[in-house]
Amino acid sequence: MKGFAGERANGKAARFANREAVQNWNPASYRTLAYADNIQVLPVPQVEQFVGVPVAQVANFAALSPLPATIQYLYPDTSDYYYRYGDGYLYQVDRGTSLIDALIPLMAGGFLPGQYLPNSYMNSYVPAYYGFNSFYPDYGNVCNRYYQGVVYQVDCDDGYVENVIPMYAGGYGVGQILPSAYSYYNVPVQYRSLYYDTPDYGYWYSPGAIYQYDTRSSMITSVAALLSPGFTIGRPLPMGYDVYNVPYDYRATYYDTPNAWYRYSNGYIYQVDPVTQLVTAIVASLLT
Amino acid sequence: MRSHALALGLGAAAVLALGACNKDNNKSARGAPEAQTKKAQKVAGTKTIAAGIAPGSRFMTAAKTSGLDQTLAGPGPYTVFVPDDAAFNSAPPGTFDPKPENRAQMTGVLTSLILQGTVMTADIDKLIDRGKGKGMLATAGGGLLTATKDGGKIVLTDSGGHKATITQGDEQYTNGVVHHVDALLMPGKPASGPAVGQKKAK
Repeated sequence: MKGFAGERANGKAARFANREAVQNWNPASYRTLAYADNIQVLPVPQVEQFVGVPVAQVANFAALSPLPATIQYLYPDTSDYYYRYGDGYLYQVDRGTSLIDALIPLMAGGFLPGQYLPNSYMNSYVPAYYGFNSFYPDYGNVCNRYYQGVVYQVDCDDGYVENVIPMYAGGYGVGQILPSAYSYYNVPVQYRSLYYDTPDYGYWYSPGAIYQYDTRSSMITSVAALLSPGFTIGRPLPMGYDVYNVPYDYRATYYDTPNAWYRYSNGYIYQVDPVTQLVTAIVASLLT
Repeated sequence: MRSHALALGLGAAAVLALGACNKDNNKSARGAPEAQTKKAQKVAGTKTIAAGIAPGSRFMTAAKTSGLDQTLAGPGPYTVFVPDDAAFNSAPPGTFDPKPENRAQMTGVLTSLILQGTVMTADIDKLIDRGKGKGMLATAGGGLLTATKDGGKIVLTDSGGHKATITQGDEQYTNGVVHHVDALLMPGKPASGPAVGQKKAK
């Protein structure tokens, strides 16, 4: 993460500059971005100006509120500071000074909404691994680009970052918010009888994991299941998946022979040709 | 949209004032919700990996911070390489401090220790034999571990060259298997944390 706000927050001069900027702040010059369900995100060039400013002053411009009780455990207050959140960020407030002394974006990634992806990254496409490239296709004037474990949805013309979707191993997880336009129920069919929406919590799939999220805040509360890239019939086993990994209860039935291997992935047991290493069939569904 | 945001901001200020009057009440009324539904719990079984790993261990503390304790209570099945507590000392200082801003980094490290499916040590042995001395294991974090043998023991090497030996393998649970290892395996490129402008803990 680049220290955007940190650079501004370092030193009293920067803090005073931020206070002055907020006093003269003109919200009309910023685009407001939409995230998940009913979540708006303020562009980071705007929000970074809030660091070092009294929380009461910032509350005039940002939708600051205490975390919902159901998710306060994710960001516990301490005797030195407490948290407020809103508009896609968590604000750490110093109890002694009542100044906002840190900003935690609820989206991981090196670039944040409201910034511009460097032009050189516009040719950095989403990888095929885990099927990410088909899960995040370009559409309309929205381009999906990838850099160091994070998918950036940007304006195709100017690289304006509209959405940040870190991949699971890139640090996406608990305490962050769902990306926009992906908060509909999309759990893979074999997991739907296990992970279904309730009035309080929803489940959302992104390649690599099924997440549980708080429906009020769209904040991720847990990783319900870890998934693999999955196998495709007629295609070779992905690298690293040729070790025998069938669950105990199925080993007596599905054991490797010179003519057939069996491998587990995402709720299914697949048959594999040992010679060609091609996946030939699904032979068992374990969850349905 | 902007006027709506302003209205929200004014409303929030009122809530903020109420909150300021009640500073002692800053603990969450509830803990983490159950991620596993009743049916998922039934499929996972009664003796899960999450329940079996010592709750005070550094691995489990990190798993709780990053929400993976709930994952390991689910159906899986998973194969988990659990480093000894002492192994966590080799990580850069602060990596496993249970702070919110460390969650992303911990998630990246822990998922490099988890495989999908049930992989016993005998299965890794066969993989190594078939590969004439080495085999590759894909982790939930999207990386690869190289498995080799040294002195009859299985050695795992990550993309950064860190090595860990399985010291006690095949601890079976209803949703997978745990192998204890003597060192920490780290992803090749550490995940960047979400903190911006975060000052050091007081």
